[in-house]
Amino acid sequence: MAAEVGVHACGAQWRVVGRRNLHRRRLPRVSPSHTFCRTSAHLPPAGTHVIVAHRAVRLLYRMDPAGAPHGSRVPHDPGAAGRVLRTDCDSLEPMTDVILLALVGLLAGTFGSMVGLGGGVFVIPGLVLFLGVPIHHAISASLIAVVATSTTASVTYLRQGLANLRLAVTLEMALTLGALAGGFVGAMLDRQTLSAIFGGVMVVIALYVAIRRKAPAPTIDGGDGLGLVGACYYDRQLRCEVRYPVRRLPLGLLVGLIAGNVSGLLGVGGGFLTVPVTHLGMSVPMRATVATSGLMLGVTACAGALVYLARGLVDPVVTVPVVLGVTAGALLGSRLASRVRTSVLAVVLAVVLFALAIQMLLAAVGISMR
Amino acid sequence: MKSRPRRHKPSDTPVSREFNGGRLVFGKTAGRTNRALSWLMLAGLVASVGLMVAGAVLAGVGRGGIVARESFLEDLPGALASLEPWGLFILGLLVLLATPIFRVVATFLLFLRRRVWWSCTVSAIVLCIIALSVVLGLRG
Repeated sequence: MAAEVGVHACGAQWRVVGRRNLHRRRLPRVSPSHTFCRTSAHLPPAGTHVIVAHRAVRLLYRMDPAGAPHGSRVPHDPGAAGRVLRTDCDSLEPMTDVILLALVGLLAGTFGSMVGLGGGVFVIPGLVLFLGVPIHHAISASLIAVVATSTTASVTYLRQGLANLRLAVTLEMALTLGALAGGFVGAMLDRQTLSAIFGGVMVVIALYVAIRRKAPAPTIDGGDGLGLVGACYYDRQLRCEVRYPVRRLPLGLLVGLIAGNVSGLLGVGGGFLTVPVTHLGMSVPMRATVATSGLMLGVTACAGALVYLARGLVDPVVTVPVVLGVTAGALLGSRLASRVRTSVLAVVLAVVLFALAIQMLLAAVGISMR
Repeated sequence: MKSRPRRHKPSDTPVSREFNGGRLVFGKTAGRTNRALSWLMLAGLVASVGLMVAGAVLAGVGRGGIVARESFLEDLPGALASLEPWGLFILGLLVLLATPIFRVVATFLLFLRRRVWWSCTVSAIVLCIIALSVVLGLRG
């Protein structure tokens, strides 16, 4: 039996109670109004809502009291258990569940870190298609999740000495500039347009993941002619010092600008663009490429996320569980990566990404497959 | 010109060096620098996750719930003073977002100290762009 919650008109006050709590204790006094909802943006300050809690863990919002008397009690109707009596707000019916949000983040962080992506390509479809989160909130949550993934990964990469700081900072200039522009454009576009663009980009990502071959051996070069941002690192597998120059830096800057724009626009990390170009186009060894990309994508996503945050498009109720899940997933994925065959994983992920891309494209034209 | 890989004894201390037109920039201090930046990022990550978990715990025990606010900048100090979960969540997210920015600041200072002017200039530009994104975002 699901637990029901109180109803209050003109004050928007709710208190969701789990099944055990419902029987064991009285509903608490509510000084400000409380509610549980998917996002804060869709709750009117007043009106009659009934919330059905299917689980004990729910998201808690407190709305503007709007005249609700201090210390008023939430009325309790035992006959209302498990069903929605009335709702004036559509967003209340498919309520957000903290556990589901965290699970989306966990899966995104795990798979994303295993295949070298930020995880945003999994977070956004998971939130939009399966949990019904508005796409702007999903994008902002994804951007912050990318920051969390990047920070988690960078801790390890920096300790291992794999990240090229000077290259990262150089490319960050283009990436942040693109992210700034993308963040503003993204905030202005409507849901259908964003879904269509995201679906198209996901098809490209799926193809990239599918056709990506095993990384070639790193370039082992002499100490001379490493260029402006060349570097070296100690490769533990090869047991040698790998020195590499960075070639075609303007190409990297151009792609960084595009990747940053896509990142700010769609809330993905942009690693699917920067990693292949840095590795293949700029001749940076794969290990250094992944480490450097992981380092700089955090700054890129940060620039886009700050725009969303400043515009009030970051919903902590959606973002926090996703970020916590992604952080745990990134730690888990980095440990699992060496135990799973990457080629098999890449094919599976490509299929999943392609299916999600199709769903996003269909959602853009108003066809829901849920 | 390709050369044969030089064999080294595996070491616990990572070796990382960076060059500027063939000139060694960081040399032996690269490992120390990387570790310092790594600790900085780890501290930011732990602090942000800790704040968000604390907010979730407070929300779970029913302390005030998560408050939907219009303006986070104005309401944040009050929410933090009363230990509201919303305040802890937003502060945790801000700390998380600030972590890579602090890393860029630290990198900028590092390059400035080592007089690597190209990277120093680029770091400063990155910081300016991030500041611009905040300012433009706040102005809507």
